Amino acid sequence: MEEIRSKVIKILDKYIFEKKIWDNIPEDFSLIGDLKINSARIVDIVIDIEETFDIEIDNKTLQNLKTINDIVATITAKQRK
Amino acid sequence: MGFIGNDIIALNDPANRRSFSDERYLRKVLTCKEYSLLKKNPKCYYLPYMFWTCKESAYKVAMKKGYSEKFIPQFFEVLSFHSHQLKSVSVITGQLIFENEKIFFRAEIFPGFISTIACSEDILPGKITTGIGLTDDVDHSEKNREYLIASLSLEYKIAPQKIEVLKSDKGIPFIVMPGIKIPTDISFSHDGIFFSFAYINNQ
Repeated sequence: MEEIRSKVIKILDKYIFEKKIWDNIPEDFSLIGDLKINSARIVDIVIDIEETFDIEIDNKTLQNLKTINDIVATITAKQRK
Repeated sequence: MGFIGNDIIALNDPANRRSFSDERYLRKVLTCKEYSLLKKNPKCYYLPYMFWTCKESAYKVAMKKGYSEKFIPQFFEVLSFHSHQLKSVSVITGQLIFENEKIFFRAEIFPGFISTIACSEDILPGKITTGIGLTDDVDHSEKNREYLIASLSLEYKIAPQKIEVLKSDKGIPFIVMPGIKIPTDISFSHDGIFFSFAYINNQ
């Protein structure tokens, strides 16, 4: 889980303009609310996650991905299949 | 009274250019019909950007009508549109569909950006006021609110100090003046150096 989390954070960091945002972030941060990532970049992030973890994220799954924990849980579940 | 949503996108932004020229990206955000339309019109460079702004604007309308899920671009489909030239700006009007309901849109294609409004009712001339600005400030929202208040102040003949822009729990902006909600719906957007606002003119 930790390895997945750090790989996801590395992906997210590519889309963070102001790196200071990481200094004061909650444990289970949200992409839009806490990281201020816009919806156009969210799609880029999904594509990066799909490539990195060799999984596919459909629209229904995407709808439930709000926080880092949601993403890590989804990747973990998809990799088990 | 209808609901309004708007969106602005910078055409020269490197991240946008990269995304909207990436096949995987387009497959994720466009419906099959939109994708095939795009392939049939390869010279229409602005089409993917326009589709995106239509979907984003329509999502804001849907939120105001009670939809509370995340934005999934493929859930919104541009049904039809036609374009005409207004001086140096291409104006494209049309309709989208979301959950079996039609949403109307008007997109303006400028050399550096696209500004789009969507409305739950047909967009009649003079019914909607829009404003577009540029800023280098990191915080676009301050400037955007300032411009909107100035415009409302002129239109409703109210002192700007009496107009306040607030946000609901869902993040939907609305206007108040000493405790009274002005009967107009507003929307904000920004991308890169561009920002825009729109509101329904109920005068």
